[in-house]
Amino acid sequence: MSLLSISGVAKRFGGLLANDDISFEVGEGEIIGLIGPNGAGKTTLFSCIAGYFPVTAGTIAFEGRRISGLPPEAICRRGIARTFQIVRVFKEMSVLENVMVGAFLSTSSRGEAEAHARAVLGRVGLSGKAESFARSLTVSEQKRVQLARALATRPRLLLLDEVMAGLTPQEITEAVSLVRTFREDGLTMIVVEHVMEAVMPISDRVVVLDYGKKIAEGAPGEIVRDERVIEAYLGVKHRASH
Amino acid sequence: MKAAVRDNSGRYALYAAMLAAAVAYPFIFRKPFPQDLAIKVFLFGGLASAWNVLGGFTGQVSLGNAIFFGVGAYATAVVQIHWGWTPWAGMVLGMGTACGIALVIGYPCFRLKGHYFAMATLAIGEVISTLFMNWQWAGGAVGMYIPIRDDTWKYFQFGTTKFPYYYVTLAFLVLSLLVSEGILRSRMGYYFRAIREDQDAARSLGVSARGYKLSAIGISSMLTSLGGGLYAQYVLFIDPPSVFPMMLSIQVVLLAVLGGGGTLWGPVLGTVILIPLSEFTRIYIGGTGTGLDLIAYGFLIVLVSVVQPRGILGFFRKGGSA
Amino acid sequence: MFLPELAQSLLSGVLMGLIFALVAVGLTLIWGIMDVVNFAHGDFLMSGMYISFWMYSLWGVDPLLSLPVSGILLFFLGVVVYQLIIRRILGAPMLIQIFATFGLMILMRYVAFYFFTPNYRTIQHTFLSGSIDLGGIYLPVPQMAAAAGAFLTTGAVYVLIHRTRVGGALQATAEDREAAALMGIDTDRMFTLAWGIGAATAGIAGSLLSAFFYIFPEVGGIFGLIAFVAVTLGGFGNVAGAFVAGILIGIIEALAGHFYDPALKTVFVYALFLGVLFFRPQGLLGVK
Repeated sequence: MSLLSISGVAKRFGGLLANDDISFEVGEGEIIGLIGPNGAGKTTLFSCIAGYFPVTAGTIAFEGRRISGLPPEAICRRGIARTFQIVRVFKEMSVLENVMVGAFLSTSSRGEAEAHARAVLGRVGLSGKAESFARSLTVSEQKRVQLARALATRPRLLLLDEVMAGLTPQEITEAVSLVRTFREDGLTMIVVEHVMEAVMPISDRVVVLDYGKKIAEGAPGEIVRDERVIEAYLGVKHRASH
Repeated sequence: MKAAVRDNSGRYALYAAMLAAAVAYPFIFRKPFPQDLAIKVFLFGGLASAWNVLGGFTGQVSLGNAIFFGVGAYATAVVQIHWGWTPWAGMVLGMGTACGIALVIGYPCFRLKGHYFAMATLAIGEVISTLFMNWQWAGGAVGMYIPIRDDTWKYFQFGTTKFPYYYVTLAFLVLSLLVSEGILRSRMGYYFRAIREDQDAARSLGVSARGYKLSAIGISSMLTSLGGGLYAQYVLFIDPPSVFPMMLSIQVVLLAVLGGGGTLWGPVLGTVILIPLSEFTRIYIGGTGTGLDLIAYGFLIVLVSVVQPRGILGFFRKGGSA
Repeated sequence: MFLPELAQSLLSGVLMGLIFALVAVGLTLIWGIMDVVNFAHGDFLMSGMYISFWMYSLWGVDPLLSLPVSGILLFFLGVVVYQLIIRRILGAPMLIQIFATFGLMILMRYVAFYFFTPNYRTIQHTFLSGSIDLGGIYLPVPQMAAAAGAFLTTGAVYVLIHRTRVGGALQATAEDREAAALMGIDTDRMFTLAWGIGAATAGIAGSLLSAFFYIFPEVGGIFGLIAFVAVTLGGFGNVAGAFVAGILIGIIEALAGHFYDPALKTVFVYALFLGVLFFRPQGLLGVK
């Protein structure tokens, strides 16, 4: 049985149909890349999965149970965490406190939350900045805070929205290997990305959106050769590095 | 930049010293004026801390906390005048009523963002004030006098000495601070602050924003109404303009923000500075009739907003510029 | 038959409503362009009233003539307020923005209180006075003149916003600050202009009112509140919406006073405000 099941999901804003009849499955332990040109509806889909928008049509099910229509906090409690495209850290709180907010999902004890938060910070390589105010960090560090915060909720499914944007090539390499270690821990992920060098190597399958519709789905190697996908990106050709 | 590091033993020693000083104060300053001043400081300090739970920690700027103050005052007065109960029972009733009203107000209002929430609380405050002006059972525009009795703890009245009022309002302030500290150290405190910083991000981490905001207003309202009850017993007369005015709501907010909203000691600091200042201004520069103290208030509010929004504590907290 | 009384109330409501509309237009301009709530707006009106009052008391100038003076002085006050205060809190958290204009409100109100005393003042003899009898309905000339003045001023603002280049720039800044800046529009100047015009309209409304309304320091309170309700009803930044809403509130307020207790008129306005906030925050005409 798939972990996440998206069936016929549509989302309309007034006259704009941002998502149109989108369906795909996500199996446990998979990494799904979600790509498409700007405005294709990727972040809208994430917001629907995470409960920020009610879907106009279709259903979303997680672990066999329906989640479309639930509020964001309930969806997080079911085991889905997300990061935001524009970094939203708690600025007036320290890095450690930021992550503790996530850690408190599974405990009400401050000691336990702090211990868990420190462990997560260690994994993403931010231990040295635990006591710093979040607003004093660079953007890429703040992205890692956001990531750590989401991880601290012990999710089963992680939605990553453009975590690689604005990173240097070296940072991208580090991020990619970090994502791979998450998968080894059994975390399922959907990754929205524009940076092809990052998304193609790590995805098991890729789903392509364009103008709100799903236009292709398959292994990375197939997708880069798919004509519809190439057309959607306005003739920009991409080749996976291997 | 690092957040302030905690050093517990030093802090607790400081708290003990402050408490000892507070306990000793009325024995050193025996005249009514200094004691009255201290009582006002404790009362307002407690109210400012109570507001801080909702406004400073959780970021929901309420400009209508006088509602709960007035409800507490009226509950205390009404139960004595109409039913002969003790004021303590009235205060408990007041806390329950205030909490109920807070939840009723909060439920629809928390859907509003920022400015609109503040304006809604202002509007509701004015409506309730007008309602009480026309409610004859509760004294209407004339107000209510609490019947004077002999000095007893049961009826919490002391005509001959201010000592009991001093210690009870001190206890009220300590209670407010303890509640605030307890919140800050707990999961609730982290969630409150997360909601203040970014409500949607908080919800994505499993925080039920509505539930926690309601908790914040519930706690804030109960503490505030307790203060109202104490005030009623100290002054023994209440009417809508004295317990429901918009200015009271604003004053409480100013005290908290001047000292440093969102911190534990900010409200106390603001109160310790501003209340004596306004009392001395009133006495030496002349009467409440001139509005001079209010001019000073207005000016101060603008100054704080423009120069140091973090309040006085903002000068000391490490963390650099906004 | 009480019909003439009802018609009387309705008409008074419309006349007052036109003044409400003018005050609301200034507020919605500021609100729409920079998303700042000006709690002191009613006190700009109060300032206009006092300017006219003192020009009348000291030099016998009729409110109609002191009106331009009021407008110009308040324009500069608005500019000064923006430059000294508002500009510094543009990026600040919500609490601070509320605080700044709230503090300004208290400051202005109690400076007036201190210097002018809380006594209610009136202007006794205006150039236009008396009333017209229309089959049992009395139309007081000062109120009608004020309403006409408000209508004309609102119209002028509307023309400014929708038919001039400056107005276009204001609208662009209101809609998308960054895009407007990229197009070469000086947003700081636009904000200054908005505050100047907003304050000026409130001041003019004050002068118009001074011909027949009581003048006292707290008068800004109720007019400010009504302006808020009108702006909320009409949609933020929507000049035409604020105009219609202002008149609507004038009518509702008059009817409330007619059918119920005039003392409870304010409660009705507050209740209306809360109703709009909860049930239709985008306003009757607004789109957001």
